[in-house]
Amino acid sequence: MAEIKLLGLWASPYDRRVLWALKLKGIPYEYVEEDLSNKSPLLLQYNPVHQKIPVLVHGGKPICESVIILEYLDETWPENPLLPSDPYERAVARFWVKFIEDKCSSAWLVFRTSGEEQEKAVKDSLEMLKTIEEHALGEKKYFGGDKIGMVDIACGAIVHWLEVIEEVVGIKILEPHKFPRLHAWTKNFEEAPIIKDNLPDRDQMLVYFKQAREKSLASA
Amino acid sequence: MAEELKLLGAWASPFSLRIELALKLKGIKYQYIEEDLSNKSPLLLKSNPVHKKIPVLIHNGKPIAESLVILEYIDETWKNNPLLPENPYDRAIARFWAKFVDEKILQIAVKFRLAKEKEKEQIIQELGEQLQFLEKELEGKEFFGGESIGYVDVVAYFIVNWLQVQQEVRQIVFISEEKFPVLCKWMGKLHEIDVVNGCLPPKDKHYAYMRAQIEAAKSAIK
Repeated sequence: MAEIKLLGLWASPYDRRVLWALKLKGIPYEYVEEDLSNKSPLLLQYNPVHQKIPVLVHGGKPICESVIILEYLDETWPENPLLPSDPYERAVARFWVKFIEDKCSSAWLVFRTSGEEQEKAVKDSLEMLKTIEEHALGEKKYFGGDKIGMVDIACGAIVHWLEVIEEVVGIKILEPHKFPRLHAWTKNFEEAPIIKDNLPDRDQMLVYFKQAREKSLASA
Repeated sequence: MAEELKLLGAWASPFSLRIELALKLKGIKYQYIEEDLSNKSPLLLKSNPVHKKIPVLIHNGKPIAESLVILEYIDETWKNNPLLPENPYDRAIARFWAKFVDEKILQIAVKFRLAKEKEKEQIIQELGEQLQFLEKELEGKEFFGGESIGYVDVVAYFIVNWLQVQQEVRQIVFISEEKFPVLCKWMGKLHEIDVVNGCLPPKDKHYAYMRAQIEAAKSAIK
């Protein structure tokens, strides 16, 4: 069985997605923590185009971009599938994964900015959550139904990090009464087996992101 | 079962055109519906309530939006002449490059459209740097898909064509044969294939449209 390495950063939600998928599928791997201020030759070799984490290396061959890695894992280890088997349902799932990818930058902007810029980012984040609340989440436990799937993983990383961002900037965005479905889903997701044992340490996250925000505002 | 397939599109959109090419490469019959984007149809608004954008593929009444998602759906539903390779690793690489084209290349091209004169040279350089990655990826291959047209070819062709048309209309060089011999040769090859060039919008109409867009952007910047 070819060896799997995951090059990542503990505080990255994109990295966390891949970790969750690996754990949910019971795939053994070696984790390599990257220092993004001092990128390793390995990272630069494996992801010359973007020089970003996560990178999954399987038998020496690198795969970049968290969503692409998730699809690769699902195709290579089909047990505990992350995508449904029906092509239409798969298209719906991929649509929501893309939606989250395209819109989640507003959450990072809330964290990186202040004043008017931050206000706009908050507004954009609320719109993103509203769309998910109204269009993506049905009455089921998870996006895909009874089991955690790719949309849950993609969304879970963003929502979990949003909780930290909210605390760091002192603005509540995902309010339970405004987003009842999302709120219920978040609880289900974060309490699910495997996920709940693989959440990053909240205190460490707060320290990390408080420092990162200070740096970001200082360089603005 | 009677198959009903509709494509809501726009004649100049590279995202819409890539779907048409995919359907034609697989010999799939469909009904094309041209959308007036300044006056979106109730069908479009109902089929893509989240983004209200084209393209949307409606298969037996079920809508699919987002061009890359549509391409994967087409590939999974009609398995002849596959767009994506079979091997999961090669599929991951194909998906990577399609995402690269739509995110990096297109983003920079859009930035150029809205840029002030003094910023343009810098943006052209940036575009060149990113195109070099694409050039390198294509080296030694007939197409991005290998011996035959594949997913990345379908995705990239209309974007690069858009750059080439922009070049001619603006009289600026984005993608010279000198710096990008591999990409230019690849485009030349695709331009010669009937099913591919048959998807391109009529030249005069396309140029006029591009000119109008450029003028509109100029007045918006002032």
